[in-house]
Amino acid sequence: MTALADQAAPPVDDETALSRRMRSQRRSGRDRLVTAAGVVVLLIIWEVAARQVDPILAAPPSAVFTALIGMIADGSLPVAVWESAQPFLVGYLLAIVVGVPVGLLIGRFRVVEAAIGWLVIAGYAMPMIALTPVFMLWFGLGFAVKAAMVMTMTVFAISINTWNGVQNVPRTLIEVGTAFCASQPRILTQIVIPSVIPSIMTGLRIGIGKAVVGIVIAEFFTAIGGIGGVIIDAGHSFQPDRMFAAVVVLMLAAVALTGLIGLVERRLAPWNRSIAGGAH
Amino acid sequence: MSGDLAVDVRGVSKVFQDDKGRQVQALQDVSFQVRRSEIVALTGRSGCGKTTLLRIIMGLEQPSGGSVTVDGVPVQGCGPNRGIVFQNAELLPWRTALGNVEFGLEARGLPKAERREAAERAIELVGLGNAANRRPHELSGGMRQRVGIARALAIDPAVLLMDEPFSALDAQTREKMQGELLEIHQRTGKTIIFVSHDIDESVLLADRVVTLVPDPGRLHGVLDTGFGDSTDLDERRSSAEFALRRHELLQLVHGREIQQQDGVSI
Repeated sequence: MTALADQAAPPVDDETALSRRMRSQRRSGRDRLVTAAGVVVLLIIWEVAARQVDPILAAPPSAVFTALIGMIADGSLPVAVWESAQPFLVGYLLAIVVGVPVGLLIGRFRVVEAAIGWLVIAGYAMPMIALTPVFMLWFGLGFAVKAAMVMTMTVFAISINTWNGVQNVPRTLIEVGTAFCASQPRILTQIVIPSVIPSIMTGLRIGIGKAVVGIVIAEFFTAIGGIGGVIIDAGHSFQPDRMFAAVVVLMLAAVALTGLIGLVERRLAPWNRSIAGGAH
Repeated sequence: MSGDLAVDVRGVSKVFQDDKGRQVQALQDVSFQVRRSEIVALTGRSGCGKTTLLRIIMGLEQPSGGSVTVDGVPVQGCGPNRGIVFQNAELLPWRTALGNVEFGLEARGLPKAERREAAERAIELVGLGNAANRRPHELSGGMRQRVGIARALAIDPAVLLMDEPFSALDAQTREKMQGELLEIHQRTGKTIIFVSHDIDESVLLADRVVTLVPDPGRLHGVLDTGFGDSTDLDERRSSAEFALRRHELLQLVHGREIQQQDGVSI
């Protein structure tokens, strides 16, 4: 795993090493089969176990599936997803728009690092959930507080990975720029930023997970609308089938979004995989 | 007389500060001259300052004392009169071979069409015309270094400066590249200064070998290889001069004095 990681910038999260390994694994047909078998076994165990307990405490997969279909049919689930998706997207995009430039500036200029580097580290380390009550005072109970929560949860992960990427731009490549008399802006746009793209994408991928937590937390606290609202309502009204249906949707959405980021990454930085794969 | 002079290194010294804040003399009063179209090797044991010296000529490092002039112009940082080839090619991985060759031309603000033309000419010169659109990770080590050479040649510099250009390559590729460098030299007539820790390579390729010795890094001797007009590497390698010069260079590198025997059956 270290052999894979040492070419690219060391990422600031454990998930990354794992996901990188997962991506580098060649999925043979047999592996897929084993994975499918694992899923089936888990579903069977869950089904059998859930049938043993009170239906107000747990729901077997069959009931969850039925609830899921019902929630799609009556339109409550699509509405909830759409309610969550809007502040999610706004918050996430804001986090990119703010986080990437901030990370670039901190990484490139020592003054900026001294001035606000500590803030980004503190923000990344701190559980932003603690700020939810005060966010509700500032932003109310609607759209704004959800977007703000997503943004604060995500922006530090993006910044810190971008920063990390800038610091790991090979010095020799910058020297190539210097040797061929490239101006500072040209070195920044032609050498530093392209080198940092893989790290930015790492930040975005980790950011997805953080953003999902952010939206759910905000909706738990405000308990108004969205997937988080559905979960909390179902929990409070002893409907575990509906609750698990919403959780499954949340999980699928997070996996799909992370996969999407991976796809974008391969489009934007196709050279990175072969470098990280040790093509030397 | 000065029209024949490509590079003039005059009394160059360099003092570094190490981690503990002590002053380390990396180079002390080094002077030598390189004539136009000449190939000069800088060699010596590790720590002799050969790379530092080259980096000073490149303009990537400031000398603590002395001066370097290229074509009569004092070296102050980078300059289009010097084309630089790095040890590991150091290509931009997101650019194609041709895009990499264009990099130095872009930095000089050449219009796109002119840039493309000059880059294509340079990439043909190193024999990579049909790999122009491949990215570095799709190229072999030797091909990558050829792109590095093309990038340096594309800006049409007076002097080509190369930092251990073939040391990262396997033995067979290295031999091939050495031959190609001589061919490129014949066709372009560029002045070439390269750093090498390889005795054989220095003797084979260079017209003159500048040897440095460490602690502090200083000039120890300059060896004329005198192969005459033969550019065939196999011929050079099997000649009596090669064995003799190789022996002499070894003596120099190890800090011994030699009396170069001139006119040995040239």
